[in-house]
Amino acid sequence: MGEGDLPPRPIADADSAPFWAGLASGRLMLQFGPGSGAWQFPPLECDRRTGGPLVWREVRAVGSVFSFIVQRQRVAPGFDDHLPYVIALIELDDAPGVRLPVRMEDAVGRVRVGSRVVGEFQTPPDAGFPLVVFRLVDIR
Amino acid sequence: MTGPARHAVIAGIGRTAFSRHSGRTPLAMATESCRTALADAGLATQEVDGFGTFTVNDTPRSMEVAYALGLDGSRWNLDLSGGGHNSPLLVSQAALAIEAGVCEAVLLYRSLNGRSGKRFGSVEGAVAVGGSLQFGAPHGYVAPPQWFALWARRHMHRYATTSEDFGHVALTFRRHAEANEQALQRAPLDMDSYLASRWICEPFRLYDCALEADGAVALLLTTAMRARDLRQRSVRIVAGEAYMGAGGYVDAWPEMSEMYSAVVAPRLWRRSGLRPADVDVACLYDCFTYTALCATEDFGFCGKGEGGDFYADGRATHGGDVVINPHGGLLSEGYIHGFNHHYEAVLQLRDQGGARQVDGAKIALVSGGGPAYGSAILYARET
Repeated sequence: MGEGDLPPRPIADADSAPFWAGLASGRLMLQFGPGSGAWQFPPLECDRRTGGPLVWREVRAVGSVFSFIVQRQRVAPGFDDHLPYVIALIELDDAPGVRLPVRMEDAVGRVRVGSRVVGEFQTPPDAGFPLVVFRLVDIR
Repeated sequence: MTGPARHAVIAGIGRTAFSRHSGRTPLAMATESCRTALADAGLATQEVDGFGTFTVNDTPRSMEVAYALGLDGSRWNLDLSGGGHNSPLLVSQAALAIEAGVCEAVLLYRSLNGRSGKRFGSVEGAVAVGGSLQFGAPHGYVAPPQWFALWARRHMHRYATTSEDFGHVALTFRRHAEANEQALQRAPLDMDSYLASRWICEPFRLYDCALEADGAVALLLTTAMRARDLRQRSVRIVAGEAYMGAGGYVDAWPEMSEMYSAVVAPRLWRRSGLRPADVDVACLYDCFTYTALCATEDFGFCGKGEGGDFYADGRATHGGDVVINPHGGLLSEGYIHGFNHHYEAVLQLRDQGGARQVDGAKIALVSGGGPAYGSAILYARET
């Protein structure tokens, strides 16, 4: 894989570093504001509702599909092997109000608004950063 | 001095040819469009003391354009950061500056090689992404068509909107473009061809997406009093409104079957004293079919969930309730980042629409942006 074929790399910053560090250890970490009682994503230095402090909490990578698209045409390097692939906004059971934008695996033609999903922690080869991708929970 | 004499008007309009490969710099095209607007009005370059644009990708800065036009400098400049959501807002801000007496004549422009240069629809090369996009980018979620497609899906989910509903938007604007020599796409489009066009990102097909283009458009604003002696019938700026929501992080917007326009519309009608039925021409920001359909509903031309039928039943074209995008819009005329919407609105209100002239056009609405942030402005023919 040449450098131009690598998927877009996230630039972690002071506000987001715990999110990426969490994924690297297989944990989905999100910000919660004790003062507001609300979850916050994307992360900020302070609770945007109160200006007060935040805590990072681990949440389960389990939730429902709020919306989804099927990417059919190359839009960025690094995903040719995945085409077509589903991008979904996931609402997490443990963090109401947060929507996580993620790629889904084995979901084309099967995913619906409201589908139940579960996360899977990955570090794509060559990419060098961790991700959580989601799969449909098969209801038997 | 305030009052009607200082009301801001559009006194001149200019544009370059639109193409897929200009072979020119955005600065050269911006300069040409500004000179054309000056000639259209019959105003001397030396009278212009303000410049503005909005900046994303490859646009030139406004002080560069002032210099290229032969001026040593200007007293008022506004280079707004960002895209089409700034298009009506930029005009509103320039109008305020004129009405406050800060400056007398302002050139506003948007110039880009949106097809041959930096494109909006994809990214290439070794890419590193920061800010609020850092979370989706490593998943292959990087470009505007994807954001808007997620919103379109929610509209489909809530209102049982279909591909055909979006298709009627594309077909209506293409029919309008057939009568527009400036439009980049004028070939007739039928529903079968629309449905057979290739997927970009479901639910969007090729013909749901704006036609990326190279080109520039400029507007010349001055006071009503100064415009009286100029060449063209002037177009009055009635009112503008903007709403920049969700911190720019569109995934967080609560209900995606409504856009910024659901907030802007009631405020705009209240501020202007007008209502949807007063509007003869609406140039709605159609970077995608979804945004035009949703804005048609949000601005109150029809009820929520009725957008598809509104277009299918001919209510958005000549002989209907309101003519929406008589030039063919960004979908068929070309994506000059929404600034061509102002050009068309002015042309129509000056009765210069030629084969596509909207009968008795007196009030025009121009919107820009979506989904979570955008602005809108109302224009009136001077009587």
